[in-house]
Amino acid sequence: MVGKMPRLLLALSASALLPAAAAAQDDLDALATATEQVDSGMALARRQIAASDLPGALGALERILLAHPEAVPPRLLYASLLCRLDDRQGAELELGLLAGKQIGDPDWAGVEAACGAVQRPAAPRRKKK
Amino acid sequence: MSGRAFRTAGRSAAALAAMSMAASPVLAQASAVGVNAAIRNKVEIRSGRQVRPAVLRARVILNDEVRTGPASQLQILLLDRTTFTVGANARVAVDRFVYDPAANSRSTSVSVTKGAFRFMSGRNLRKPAGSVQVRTPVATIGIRGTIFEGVVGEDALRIARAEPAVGKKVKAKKEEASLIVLRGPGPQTQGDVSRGAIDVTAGGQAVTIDGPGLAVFVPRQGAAPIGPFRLSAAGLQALQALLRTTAEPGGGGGKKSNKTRNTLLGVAGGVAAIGGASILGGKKKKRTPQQQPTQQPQKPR
Repeated sequence: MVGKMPRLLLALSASALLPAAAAAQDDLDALATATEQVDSGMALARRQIAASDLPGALGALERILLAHPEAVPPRLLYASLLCRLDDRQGAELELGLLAGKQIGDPDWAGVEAACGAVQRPAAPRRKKK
Repeated sequence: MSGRAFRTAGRSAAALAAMSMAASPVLAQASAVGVNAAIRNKVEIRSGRQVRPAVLRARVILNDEVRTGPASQLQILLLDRTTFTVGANARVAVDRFVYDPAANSRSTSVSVTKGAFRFMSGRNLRKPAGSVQVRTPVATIGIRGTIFEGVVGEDALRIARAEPAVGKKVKAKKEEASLIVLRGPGPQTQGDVSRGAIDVTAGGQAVTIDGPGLAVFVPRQGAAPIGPFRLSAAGLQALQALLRTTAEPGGGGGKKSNKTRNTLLGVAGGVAAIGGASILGGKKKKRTPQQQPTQQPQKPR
């Protein structure tokens, strides 16, 4: 079917769409760039959550955590989102990875708001001098 | 590219672009289906006979193959905002990608021949339109707006055999055994997101999974899916170990562990594109700290 279509027409059609295609790619670039840093990535995730794009926010947080696996707030928000998506088992798994990390009360309140009663990861140990 | 996909794509200008990309080898080479949105450790892209390290934000080009090494991950963002995360030691191929945003229609097919993966449907997750599939050597997974994970190969067999619903004596082929688990959204999902589901077809039988944590295992070609069963916490942890974003035990990792590699030729792609990308992987299984119990977390070293 395609082989019989005039290639010139097809190519022109494709060319006409390239600006839109480039814009779509630019959007993806922007999403990827935003999550290279924790702060800008968190801001993106919160905007996506506000827009009810929970999977998009989950993807953004996953990118942050790939680049910054030690970051605590993104993992807490990730766990919260899993709860909101009804994946409590996954959320508990994520929270378990935060043992020994300093977790702020406001951040934890966000987790409890999404997950309800859930075990708070153990606080960090004091280092011996 | 199949004639069927062409028919699927044939009603809009965007789809026409997709058709033209397929009609013209040059355009097809230039079309992109997404970008490398995050890379961790060793990820390589094979394009024809060339293998190059992957590069952040580079375009995912049609028919490319991507390989991940041990403790390595790649997150691909597709044009329809679907997120496809490839875990360690994996090999994946995007067979088809047709997206018409005007009609909110898409047709996507991804093949996973080895390793772990996570699939998160893109925007309008609650209104999926078109066919979205992930294929393993032994099963086809039809996706209805959802988040799910899977693993193909030895790791699938290892994890599944520890599950009571499968057992150690299951007759399986380690190269192709496939374990698939739905993560959500579940029935108690909050907000404006609908419940997700997947249909796993293997050995002439189809099994629907519509609850988070439910899994099926397909041990070999021609075998019917075993399940659905609830994946144990240990099983989920083991799967997560292949996909996880964690640092090394005791707080290693971080930026120092992230080696951004270079590759993937990037060219501006179509709003609609038809694509293939692959992700291949090595054999060494390095476990990251998902061995930790969830209820009684370990202290860091």
